[in-house]
Amino acid sequence: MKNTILQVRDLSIVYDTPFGMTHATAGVTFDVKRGESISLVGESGSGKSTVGLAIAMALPPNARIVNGSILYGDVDLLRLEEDERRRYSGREISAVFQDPLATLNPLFTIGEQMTDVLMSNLGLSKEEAFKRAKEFLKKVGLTDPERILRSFPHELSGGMLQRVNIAIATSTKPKILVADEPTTMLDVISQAQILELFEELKRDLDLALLFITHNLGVASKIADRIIVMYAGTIVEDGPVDDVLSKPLHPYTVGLLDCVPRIHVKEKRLKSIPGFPPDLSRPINGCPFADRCNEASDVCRKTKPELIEVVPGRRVACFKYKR
Amino acid sequence: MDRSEAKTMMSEVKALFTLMRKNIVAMVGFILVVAFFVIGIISPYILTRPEDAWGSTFNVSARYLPPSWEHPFGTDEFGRDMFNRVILGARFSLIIAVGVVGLALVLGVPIGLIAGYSGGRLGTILMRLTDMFLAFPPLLLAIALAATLGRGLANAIIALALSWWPWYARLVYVQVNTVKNMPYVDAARVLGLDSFTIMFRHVLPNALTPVVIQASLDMGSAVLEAAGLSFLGIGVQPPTPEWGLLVSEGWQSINVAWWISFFPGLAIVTTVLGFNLLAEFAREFMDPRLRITMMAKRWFK
Amino acid sequence: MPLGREYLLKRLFHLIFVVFGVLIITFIITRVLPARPELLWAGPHATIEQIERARKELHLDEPIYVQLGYYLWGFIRGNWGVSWRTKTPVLNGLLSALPATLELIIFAFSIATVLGVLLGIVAALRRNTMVDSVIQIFSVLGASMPVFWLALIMLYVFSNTLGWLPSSNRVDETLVIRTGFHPITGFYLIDSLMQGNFPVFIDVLRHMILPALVLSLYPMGLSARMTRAMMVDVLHEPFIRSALTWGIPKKLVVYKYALKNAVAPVIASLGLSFGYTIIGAFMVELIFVWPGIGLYLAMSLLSFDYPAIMGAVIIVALFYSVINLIVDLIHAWIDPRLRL
Repeated sequence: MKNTILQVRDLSIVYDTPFGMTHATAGVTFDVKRGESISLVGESGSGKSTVGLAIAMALPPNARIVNGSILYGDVDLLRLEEDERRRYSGREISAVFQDPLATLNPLFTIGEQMTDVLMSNLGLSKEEAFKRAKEFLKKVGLTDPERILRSFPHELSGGMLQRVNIAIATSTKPKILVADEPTTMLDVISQAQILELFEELKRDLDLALLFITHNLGVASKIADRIIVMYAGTIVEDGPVDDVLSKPLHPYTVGLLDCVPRIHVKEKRLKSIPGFPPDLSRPINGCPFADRCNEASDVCRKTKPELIEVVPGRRVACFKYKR
Repeated sequence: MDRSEAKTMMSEVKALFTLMRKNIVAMVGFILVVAFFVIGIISPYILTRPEDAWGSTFNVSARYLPPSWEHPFGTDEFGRDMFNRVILGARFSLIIAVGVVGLALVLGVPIGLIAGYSGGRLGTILMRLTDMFLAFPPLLLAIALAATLGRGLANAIIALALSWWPWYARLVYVQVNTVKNMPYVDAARVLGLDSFTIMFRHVLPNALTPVVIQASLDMGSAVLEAAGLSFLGIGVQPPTPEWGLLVSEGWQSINVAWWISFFPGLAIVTTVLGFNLLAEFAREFMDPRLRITMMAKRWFK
Repeated sequence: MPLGREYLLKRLFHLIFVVFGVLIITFIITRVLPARPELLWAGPHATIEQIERARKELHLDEPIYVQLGYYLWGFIRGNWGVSWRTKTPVLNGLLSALPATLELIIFAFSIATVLGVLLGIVAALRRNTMVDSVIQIFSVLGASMPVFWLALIMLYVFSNTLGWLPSSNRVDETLVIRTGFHPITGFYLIDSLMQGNFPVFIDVLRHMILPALVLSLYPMGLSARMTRAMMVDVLHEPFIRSALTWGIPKKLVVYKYALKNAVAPVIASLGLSFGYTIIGAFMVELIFVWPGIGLYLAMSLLSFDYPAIMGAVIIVALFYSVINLIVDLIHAWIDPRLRL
């Protein structure tokens, strides 16, 4: 337990939209250990990004915390005041986002933005901040850091920009890094390089990584543990190799089935029949019940609890008992 | 449009009114604009003193009367009831607003469409031409044209429209260019639709919607500019009770009868205000990112 | 040099092109559009000989391109026609009226922009509060009022009724004579300071404050609205959220980063805003009898003085183009993405 640095408890978040409320997450609970890398996996609308944003304290203004807490040590991050939050944002917990160009201010040089982050968080002087910025730019594999510091975001390529983002986020040596689909917008080669970079940084900086993705392949490469989400709830989690080789939840099974295999001859691409549920209504019963071919009456009426069937592995499905 | 498109539009409209109801500013603007249209259309039929309004009377005993129950806006130097004149003025402002914007659209949209859709050299040439017109500050070109073409309502509308069309041409051009490169146009082409169909069913509605919205909201500015022309003496001519002209007519007697200039000007302010309020609201509504912030309790975290 | 020589050259060429365009369009308006241009040119009280002479001067019997050539040549040489109202050359009349207008416009526009942007920032930061509503109402009202109406009302209230401020001209002539003030640059505020002539300085301010305030309301409203809108926009951009997530304090994010992003498009719109100010100046000068180009134009309009009208139109259009160039340069300086 001493090793646990983050505890997410019963997290329920809704978004207020002109079309009504969207229940993004419902009762999400999990722990993050020091230096652990967890992959949060799910399709669009599964709530995985919302969880990540909540931890990074980067939720959009129309998000409302209905219930739950995120404990960092004994501090509940969700209930901090503005100025207190700053002690943790950027210093202890940082984030890398999906679109590397959109997350950088186009009117300022990379150097300006990086040094401001370092000076604000670590109280460094401008020269010290510059030195550290160069150091971290080199760490993420960028040659000629001086030129990059002088450049504007639109002058660099996508892969380079994402490295810059990662450099900025890790330059304060946070304990937790949330990465929200950081490779989705990159080409495959850059993707592989960035993943390798994450692995290096994980080792170097003893960083706990929360890697959000919809890509199982990426998840399998980067993570120690995998958490599968569906319609705002966790349906299964556990060590990544175990879950992916022996999936327990019907949804995970279906997901893995969808991945085309090169050495097997398949006529049609498989997919899970049906559509994800409408999140504007709270869901009764298991959210996957409609699409599950093993569903029974109890599945449609009651929500399955997330139970630990084997030490370290949890499933939310009535097929399993403790 | 088919059923699913209609349903989407209905839900958009529903969302629009939901947000509008929460937003006083938008509601007020909406009411003012609707009032303007209604009064503008029915005004000739609700006048209590039509001869005063149309300007054909000269009532010596009723000259320069201050506002009262009988004459809510007072009377002018010819003894004409200002209230009636202002009400009828709404009709002329409406005619001008619709005329100017409509004519500007008729001139500007085709040019923008052709320039945008054909792109390349033709597009660049047409846009350069448009830019030449945009080198004039607003209204200046209208002044030059009105001075050349002569006075009167029709010429004022033409002059203003000729100075406005470049804005719409440019707007349409930019829109068409943006839409042209959208993935759904490529999708349509891949599905085998011919250019004509693509243009009319896909490019056009999406490109033109912002333009139409912009044009509707521009009607307020049209009223304002026409009033300016009339005030300078090169727009509508007396005895037409156009609001700008009424203000200018009251200028000479401002010291003895402030109401002659005051109330017509107030009418202008109210009308333009309505359009501007709606424009503010529409701007925030159109941007999908901002729309979510309309629902937020706290705006900034 | 952050802007680069290429970019500057490109903009200069654009300016020349625009000037050319203005001349072509005015040529079309004055020579091609009317059925009998010489009638407009000679004025409503011209005799037959004068009309004939106008016909020859305008070279109306020659082909269009020759006319255009003479038109452009006349423009460059400063022969812009003679105002039949003042019987003096149009260009001279315009140039002597220019400083008055410039002083007024610059004064009004500066107030409008500075105050407008400040108000916009305050409104955006206190969004959805009372302060925000008040500022928004004020800005929208400012942008909805006809300048001429507001000018009349202000004149009536402050000058005629209350008598606090003078109602016309730039300065009290008797004071000028008494204190020996003489214009150097044509900008009376500067000139009076240069001569250490404080009574005249105060007097000029007293004359300028009312027209300038009236003139500034519309661009102030526009700036405030736009700044607020841009600020609100920008504050929801991904790079603002990321900056906060990375630990940059909110004050720094707002006043250093968001502000610059918000102000950039506002600067871009200043050109147009300035255009509205110029037009507003016509009305204001007319009502306050301010001896500038606006008054010149307004009087020419009232007396159908066509050469004077078109001369004023051209000079204003040229001035506007130059202003737009400056605004574009400033915008490119702020936003590096434009310096291509």
